Amino acid sequence: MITSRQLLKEIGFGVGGLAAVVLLCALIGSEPLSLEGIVKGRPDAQIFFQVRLPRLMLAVLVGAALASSGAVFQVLLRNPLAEPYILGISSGAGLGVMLAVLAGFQWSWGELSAQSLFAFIGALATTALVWWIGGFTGRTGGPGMILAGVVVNVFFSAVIMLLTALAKAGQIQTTLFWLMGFLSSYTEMKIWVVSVFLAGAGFGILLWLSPQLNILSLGTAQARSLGVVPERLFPIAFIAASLLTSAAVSLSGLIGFVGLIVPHSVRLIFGPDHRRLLPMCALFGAMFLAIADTIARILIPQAQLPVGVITALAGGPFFLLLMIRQSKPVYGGGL
Amino acid sequence: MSFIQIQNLAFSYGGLRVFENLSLEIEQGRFCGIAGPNGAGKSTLLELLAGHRKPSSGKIRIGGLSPAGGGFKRSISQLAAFVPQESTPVFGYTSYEIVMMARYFRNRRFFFEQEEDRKIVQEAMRQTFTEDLASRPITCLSGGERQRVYLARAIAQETPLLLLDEPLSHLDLKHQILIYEALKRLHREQKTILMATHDLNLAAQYCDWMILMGPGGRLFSGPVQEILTEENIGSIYGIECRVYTVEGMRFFIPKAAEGEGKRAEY
Repeated sequence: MITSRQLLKEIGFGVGGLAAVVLLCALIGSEPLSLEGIVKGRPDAQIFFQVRLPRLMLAVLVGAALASSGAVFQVLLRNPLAEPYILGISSGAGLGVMLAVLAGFQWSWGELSAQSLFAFIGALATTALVWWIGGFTGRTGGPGMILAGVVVNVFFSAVIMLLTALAKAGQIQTTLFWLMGFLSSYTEMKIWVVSVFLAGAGFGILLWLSPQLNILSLGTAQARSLGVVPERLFPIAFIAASLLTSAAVSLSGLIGFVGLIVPHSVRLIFGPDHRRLLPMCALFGAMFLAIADTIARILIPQAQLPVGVITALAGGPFFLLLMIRQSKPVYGGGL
Repeated sequence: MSFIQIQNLAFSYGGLRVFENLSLEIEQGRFCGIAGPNGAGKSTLLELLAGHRKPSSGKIRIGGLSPAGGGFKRSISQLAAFVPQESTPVFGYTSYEIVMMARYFRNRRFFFEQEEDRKIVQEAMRQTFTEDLASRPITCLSGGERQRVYLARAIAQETPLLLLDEPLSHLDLKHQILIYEALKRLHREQKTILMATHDLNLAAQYCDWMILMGPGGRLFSGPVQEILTEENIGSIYGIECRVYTVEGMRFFIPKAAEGEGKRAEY
């Protein structure tokens, strides 16, 4: 059972927790900051506002987008193992970046770099391709879409490896880094505006559709009898979730595991009702990535450790533990 | 005009013709059992009525509307509730949450449950003896418990028509009777109930209308007394059947037909 007052209270606590996590993460690092120093100004404030906070805000945005879109892909494909990258979004975005780098595109349009633009286009184009293939194998209520995504993913990954082998050594350094997922402190304002707008719109649509997503999780036949029109709901939710993922990918590269671990953990704690699940996924995904990126930042101060490595290293075992201990009552025979 | 009208209905499934030229009328307020051998198309008929499948040709009208038609898509949920034969849930919603899903589209501006919805859900769960299961995840229930939860959801949907696909197949004897009594009460409230079943004895006790479907589109439809006869059952199932009356209730005892018994001995 869920009431608006209860949900708002939970979201309020979540936002407070997220703010505390972000503040704490911003203070620690190779150069420890103090609240006093920030308030007084100069070096501390400069590092806080110009280096650490932008990067943490990026972690918040990307984490929230990946976690909530992961939850949606899991219900749309009725498969607990689905994740935001499963539909070829990752390899499509990777291929886009690879092509942009190999073609020597150094230009930027406004302040939008060729790389993030190509990542975004590659992600959306591949998703469209998988959607199109899914039309032949059956989109809803079966493994058709996932199989299509897996096949496209493997094929594009092979193309990426082929291009890597052909490229000159120095040329692809950026791409490799990008494929591991990283968060930068220096994101341009315009990209921020576009990303926040895209992610916000996608999330808003999904939240609005969340009661229908509950019903859709029972399968298309039952959903139809309960008033959902799957042919209408599925493409809208699919596009919204794809936009959310693509926005995250173009900002940060491929950060794995967030879209899988966070929705499952949140489901184990708060239950599968999407009206609560989606906001909680966004909040916990944001916290998770903020903490992971802070660990990546301080673990090896000289080197830039990609945050994707941390999410996979920390997330994998944590998730397995949760799954072994608690999954039985929450998941059916599908797993 | 009949509440349910089916005219010249044809349906093929993967190249296999399930039925063709099926015509049928059912009045409002009937409690109608549907029986017949496996593969005769009982489930398919219910799914066509629920709009889950589109007929290859022919017409279906429920209350003057067509379930497969355009504008009908959403309003089918206001007209017919459906209880599936079996359903594997992926996520562990509690039984209460599952039943509450019936209320989402009763109220067009639904986002959170209203007090009225809660009362209706509680009452539906009371009628199907699922109150104790309310907070248990649907994934942890036995087949019979799950069927009762789905039936509660169908009741909470408050539709004039209930389409039930073998809703009692996993229930124990006591719950079969209790659920039949609950359905009888709904029947008295003028709801139309179509229920696929293999249990002719219980159907004969509770239903007032019967459809017997056989392979190749053979069909008997009519008042339960006229349809459930030794000849009809025998010819639809390809068996021999004896009917006995005990305390005013009719019982059907199946026997292997001549020849069939011999085949089983090999």
